[in-house]
Amino acid sequence: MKTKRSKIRWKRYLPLYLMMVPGIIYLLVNNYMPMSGLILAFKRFNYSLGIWQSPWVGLSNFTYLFTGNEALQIIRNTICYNLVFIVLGTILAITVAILLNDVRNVKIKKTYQTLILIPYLISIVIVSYIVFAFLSQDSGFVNNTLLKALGRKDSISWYTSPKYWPVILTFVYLWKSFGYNSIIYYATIIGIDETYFEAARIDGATRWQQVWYITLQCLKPTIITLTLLSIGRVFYSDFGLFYQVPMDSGPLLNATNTIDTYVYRALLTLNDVGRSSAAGFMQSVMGFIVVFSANLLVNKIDKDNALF
Amino acid sequence: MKIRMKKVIALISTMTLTASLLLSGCGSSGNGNAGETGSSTAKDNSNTQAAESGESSPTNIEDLPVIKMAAMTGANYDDTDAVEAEINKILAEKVGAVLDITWSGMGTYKQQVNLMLTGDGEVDIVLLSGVPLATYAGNGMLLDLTDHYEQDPDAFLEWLDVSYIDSCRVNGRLYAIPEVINFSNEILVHANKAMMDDMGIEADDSKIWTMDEIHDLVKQAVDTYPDIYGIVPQTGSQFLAQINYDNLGDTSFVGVIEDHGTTGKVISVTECEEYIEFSKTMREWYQEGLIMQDCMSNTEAWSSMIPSGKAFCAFDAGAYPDNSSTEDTTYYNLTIYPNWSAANCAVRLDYGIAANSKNPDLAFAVLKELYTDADICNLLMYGIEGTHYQVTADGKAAPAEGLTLENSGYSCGFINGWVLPNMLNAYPSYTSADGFSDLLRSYDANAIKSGALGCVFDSTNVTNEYTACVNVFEKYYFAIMSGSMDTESTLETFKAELKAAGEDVVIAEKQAQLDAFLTGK
Repeated sequence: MKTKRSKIRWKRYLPLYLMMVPGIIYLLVNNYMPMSGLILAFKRFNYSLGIWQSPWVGLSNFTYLFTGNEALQIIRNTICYNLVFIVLGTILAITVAILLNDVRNVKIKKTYQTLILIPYLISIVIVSYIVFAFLSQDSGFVNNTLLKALGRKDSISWYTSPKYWPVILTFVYLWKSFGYNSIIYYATIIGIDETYFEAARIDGATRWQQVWYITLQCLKPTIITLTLLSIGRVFYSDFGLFYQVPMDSGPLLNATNTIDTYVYRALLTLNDVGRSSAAGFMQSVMGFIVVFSANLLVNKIDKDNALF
Repeated sequence: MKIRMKKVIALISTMTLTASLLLSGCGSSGNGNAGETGSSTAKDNSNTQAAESGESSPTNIEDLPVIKMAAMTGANYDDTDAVEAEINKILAEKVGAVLDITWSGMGTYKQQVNLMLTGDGEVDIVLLSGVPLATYAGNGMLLDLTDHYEQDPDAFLEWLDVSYIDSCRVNGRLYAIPEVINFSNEILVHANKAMMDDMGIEADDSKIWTMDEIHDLVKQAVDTYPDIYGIVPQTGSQFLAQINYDNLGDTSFVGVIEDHGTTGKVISVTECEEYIEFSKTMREWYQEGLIMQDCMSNTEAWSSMIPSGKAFCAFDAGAYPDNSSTEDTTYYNLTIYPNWSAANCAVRLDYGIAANSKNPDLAFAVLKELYTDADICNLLMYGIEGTHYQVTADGKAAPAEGLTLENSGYSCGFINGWVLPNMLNAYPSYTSADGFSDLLRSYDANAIKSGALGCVFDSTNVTNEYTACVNVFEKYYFAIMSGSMDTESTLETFKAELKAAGEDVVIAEKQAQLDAFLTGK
């Protein structure tokens, strides 16, 4: 009796499982198969011997990530930038999403939706030149128009002063990504049942209270999921943002060097496959640990919203 | 049931994963074997090849084995296929193989070659441009050419000094053949010709300019043309790679040897007098506004900024034995320091063969022809005679009737012949002086020789410290040299960070390698 029923279910759900197949194949090919390459992190790779014949070297490929003060600084940069990006990015995206939802005129709403998405679609190389147009010393807008208007005579050499760059990079990141993230939150917001708001209005809730007690409460699962996902990438960095936008300017490296750009620079000429795999491997392991612990925390506080 | 379904899917995914692991495992170990058998069949091959060339039977060109070559180019040419077909006619007869050249732009060449060398038999002959030969050889990316070379060394010795060839040895084994090209460079300033002429300044070819004279010249130019950059970097944010100190081929200058590498002592670049002096001067010039203010974020090379009139001049290193400044050139070359041969002068541009080449013997035979066959050299340099170039009355190659360098289907040799194996085995370009080949040789012969000529640093033993130092180098070396940052204080930071990154370990290793080289000499 039981088996019969399960057979029927199996048949009924078969199309759904079939729909899953392309995604699973993609995951397998793109994310799981290359994992066998992780073995390279523990080998001194020799091109003529190939992956499997190359000699084992234990953990020695990892040591360069932890030698000297550089390593510490780079890991610090990577994590701090990501944390700032996550916090400010989420706040900005949610704010914009809520504002967008309150725009009543459909035409204007559509225009805004498109406009905020445009920066996300611009190639990072072009972004770097837009930034350069602002910050260039010879012809940049900031030095030659803005600062002059403010009565400052000497120009600021932006590309040799690392202290400004945490702000500049955060600004560029937010400008580029807020549109895309807002759309995700906005999609959740329009899914909220309108009757909640009606009931709240009847009970005399202010605009602010509606946002706090309804919108944000309904957004909570989305926020937690998206944040957990970005926390998983806290050891990675957007290569374009950190390499192209500062125009690969050496003096800025203290503020702009992250694990990815460090590995790129260090191994560009040495062509050391083992060491680059080691860096990637470390990033994944750390990411895994962070996601796992973050999820554990969410589990403790609010079991329903945990990822797993 | 739902749970069971999940399990099934999990099982399937695990199975696929394991299968893929196994498969890729088999694939790779298969490759390893193929490599071994490849080299053993290669030995048999040399016999059959000899037999083949002996018969010289007119076999179909399409059936001949294809030797793939990676070459670098500064422009895209329409007629590369036609030129290749002509070369293959000669190669088919002489070697019994044909050539298939993949041209890549200069900006992406290094990455392209890395990809090709990692692939399986995607390339045979490669131009190695500024790569750490020892690392590539140690990685197993390059084929050991020693045995091939020693079968007939004279073919190459006719063109290259034995000391240059020996520079390409790693642990006594030969991994590349240097290009036949200049082996010494002078430090000079390229100055915009139109502006120089306009200001009425003589560019006497034999003159050695002092830094003070250059200063006054740039000052005058900047005053006359307020909208241009005075001095621009060599390329990107690289202001000038090096002056008269030797780095043993280490592009990150972790430890240098002063006075053309003659002192025999490796010191930190932050203690190198010449580097410090130059940087201080540049700082003064920078503050005077003679140097491009944005040079740390620059992405253009002088070679595009000076001809277009965007900039007046740039520091550079180069060989100008004939000091030719013909009507076609857009700049004068003002020598500051006479030409010298750095330790790695023969390993900057050289040709090697990929370790995973399917036909190593044939590949070497083809490579040899690329150096020794004058017809092939001319084809590679200038294309097809009559179509792309003509030989002038004084025995030089010039673009064919009605063609310019821009509209020609092939003009590699006129624009950058230095990417090719042997430019001296072809006609000299119409832009060069009479007897160019002899001029170049005496130019090299009269050059100041590095005290460590042929000694090339191998960072393998100190990779951890070296990678950390590379990172510090990226921050400050060019920033200080271009004058964009305060010299004194930045030098202090540079020094301190290098020390913390383990510079001493790298310098000690470099010194040890130098000492071993000098005693073995």
